[in-house]
Amino acid sequence: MEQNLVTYLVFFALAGLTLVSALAVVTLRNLLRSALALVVTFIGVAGFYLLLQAEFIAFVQVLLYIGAVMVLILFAIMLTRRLMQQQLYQFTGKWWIAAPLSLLLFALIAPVVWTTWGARTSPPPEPLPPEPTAALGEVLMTRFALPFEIASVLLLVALIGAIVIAWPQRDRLPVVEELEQKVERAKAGWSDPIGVGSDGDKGVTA
Amino acid sequence: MELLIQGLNRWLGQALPNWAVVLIGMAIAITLIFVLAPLIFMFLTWLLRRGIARFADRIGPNRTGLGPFNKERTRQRWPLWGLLQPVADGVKMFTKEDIIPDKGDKVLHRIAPIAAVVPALMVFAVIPFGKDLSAVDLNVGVVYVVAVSSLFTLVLLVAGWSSNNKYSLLGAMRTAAQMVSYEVPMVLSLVVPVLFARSLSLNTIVSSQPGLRWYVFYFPLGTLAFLTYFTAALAEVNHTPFDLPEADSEIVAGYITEYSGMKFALFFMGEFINQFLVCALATVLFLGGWQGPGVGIGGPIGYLLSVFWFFVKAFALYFLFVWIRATWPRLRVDQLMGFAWKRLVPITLGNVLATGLAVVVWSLLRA
Amino acid sequence: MTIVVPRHDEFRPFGSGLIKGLLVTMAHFVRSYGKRNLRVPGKEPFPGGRFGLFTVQYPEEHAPIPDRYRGLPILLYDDATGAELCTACMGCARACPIGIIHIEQGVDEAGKKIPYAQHFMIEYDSCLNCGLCAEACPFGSIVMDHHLETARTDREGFKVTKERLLRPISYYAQIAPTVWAEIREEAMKRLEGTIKRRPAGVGIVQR
Repeated sequence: MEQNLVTYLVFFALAGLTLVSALAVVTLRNLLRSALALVVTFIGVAGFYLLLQAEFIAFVQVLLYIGAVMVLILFAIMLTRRLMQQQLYQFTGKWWIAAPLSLLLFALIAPVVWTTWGARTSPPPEPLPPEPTAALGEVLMTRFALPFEIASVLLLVALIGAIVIAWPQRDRLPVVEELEQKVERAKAGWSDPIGVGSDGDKGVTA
Repeated sequence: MELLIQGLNRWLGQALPNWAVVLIGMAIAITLIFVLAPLIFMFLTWLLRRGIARFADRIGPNRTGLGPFNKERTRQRWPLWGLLQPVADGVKMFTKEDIIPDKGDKVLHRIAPIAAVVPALMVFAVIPFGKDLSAVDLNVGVVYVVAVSSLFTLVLLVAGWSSNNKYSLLGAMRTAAQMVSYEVPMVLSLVVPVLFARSLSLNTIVSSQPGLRWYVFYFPLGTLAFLTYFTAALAEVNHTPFDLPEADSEIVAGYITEYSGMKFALFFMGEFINQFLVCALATVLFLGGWQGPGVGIGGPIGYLLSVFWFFVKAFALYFLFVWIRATWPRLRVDQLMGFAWKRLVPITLGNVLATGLAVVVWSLLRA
Repeated sequence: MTIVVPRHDEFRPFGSGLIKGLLVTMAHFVRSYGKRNLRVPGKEPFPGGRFGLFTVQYPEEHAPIPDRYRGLPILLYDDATGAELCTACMGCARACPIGIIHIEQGVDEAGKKIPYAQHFMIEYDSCLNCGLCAEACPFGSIVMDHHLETARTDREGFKVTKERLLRPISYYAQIAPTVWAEIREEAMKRLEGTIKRRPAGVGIVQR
């Protein structure tokens, strides 16, 4: 009973934290602070995982979402604009379109939450394996091998796409072309390798 | 931790309910960590300054130390080797003016230094400082350490941004890019001992390296993993030769440019504790943790010896940090990222693959 | 002209330079626990070569000061007779670029000026340590001291009068032997002449 009470208290504390910070994400006018509120939300979600005794997932959540994804988001925010003085508008003039749409979405989701999906009929959940992480790894490599691999391929595609976008442009500056030609000539045994003789003295030829 | 709770149970079990004993045990463990971490920080600063001084043919701070404070005795030649220098530094830091930039984000500017220390302290919870002496025995200890210490990147981005200073922001960007890049090879190197031990728990990893069967001696895979881990860890904690965030000739003091007084000291505390944690983690994963001669002895002697060996190894690694700091020059920014992504990541990836193969082949051969 | 830059083409394994650097610093680390390597005046500098502790622990120890070091100006008097070398010729006061040397020439009973400085005051807090006064002095009377620790908490104390300026010749001969050897002959000759022209007992330091 004590255990249950503590769990409930922790759950409601975490839920409050997550909801408040998620609300802050969409209402704060400073974009960077919104992003930091999102960090708090992620920490709350990691807390839920811990509460469900899924330690591995919880710490991977922290590592990937906070340690990597949020850092990238912050990078993007910092590199794009000066946001310090700029107060962004969180509400545009079209809010009256968005409000009924989100209400509709909520109406769709709410029954799903309330439905007890055969909880009364199904047997109680199985006890956790002694090494949950090892069991997770095994399942990933056997039963869910295909989805796992598809996700990997998706990430690989994203990686390659990023490289393709960031690849330097094909057409180069004329100066570079000229220099390259000079280097070619020098390699072919040209007597005046660097420059046009004016500061050829300083050239290093060894 | 379990040991502590058992002991408390024997002592207080009659008088108090079970949960109270657990709570008291937690409080003791947390207090110990809160005392231990600043002590380690102080000792590390002292070790760094004295060590670097010796490498540069100097003496280093030797004016502060215990002893009678009359005129004649403070002029003794080596008053305790300046061991109280960190205390003097702390007093100095407390008396400094605390400056908050007028145009900066004041709230975040205040939060950042505190948040810099918290993740470092949190990692202490799972480090096995000796035989059965870790505050929490997590079965995913390695993942926990990596996840929590990755929070530091976020903190310094916040610190750099809230200062509203170009040097701070540039320094923070550089540091964050560096830390995110080097985290990949670091984590990949950590996978190797995890594969050897077949566990993510730090305690299990230590107890699977008895005697001299440390994973660093598993040539060549373990040795290579240790080297790549050490290199990536140097970059991860912004240490020489990867100390670009503190390249004062280029970006003043990086993300701590606008910090003064105790906030500045807190950032340094975070960095130094992170450096110690990197050494401690290397000790646990590659150097056999608390394993050493005499830990098998029962009773308090065995425990004390195990703690002793752990700290000897960790501080020996830190001395290596000092040695490197006194010797090597700094990398260029453009060389930095290339080294991480083009050299370290392929090496560590290959190492992980080879180790997995070796572990499978070994278990097949034994079966 | 062609500059040939030597390329080190011989095989050097990856990281060998790093290891070499580490060994160099380690050698310094180890040998810093051996003998101290301090400069001793009159001896070969740094007997231990590049190794050893070079630190001079300042308040207790002092690094040797070269003979021609320019500290703050002082006045000299003869050890044997106690006669001041200064004749109040005003050469130093005129040479001083910022005019911090103040001299009042003494007079005898008849009101006639005599070669003797009744009052001699230097404002130490404004001194540039340029040494032009010592160079201008034909009597070798004003010279540059080697004393370093001149800090004090009261400003008035920097107005140094004759009582605090006077030092015996033997003191200066000891701290700056080469400089004194150069000016000694001239100074002693002129001192004899000065003593003759002074009324008895004037310009003799009371000890």
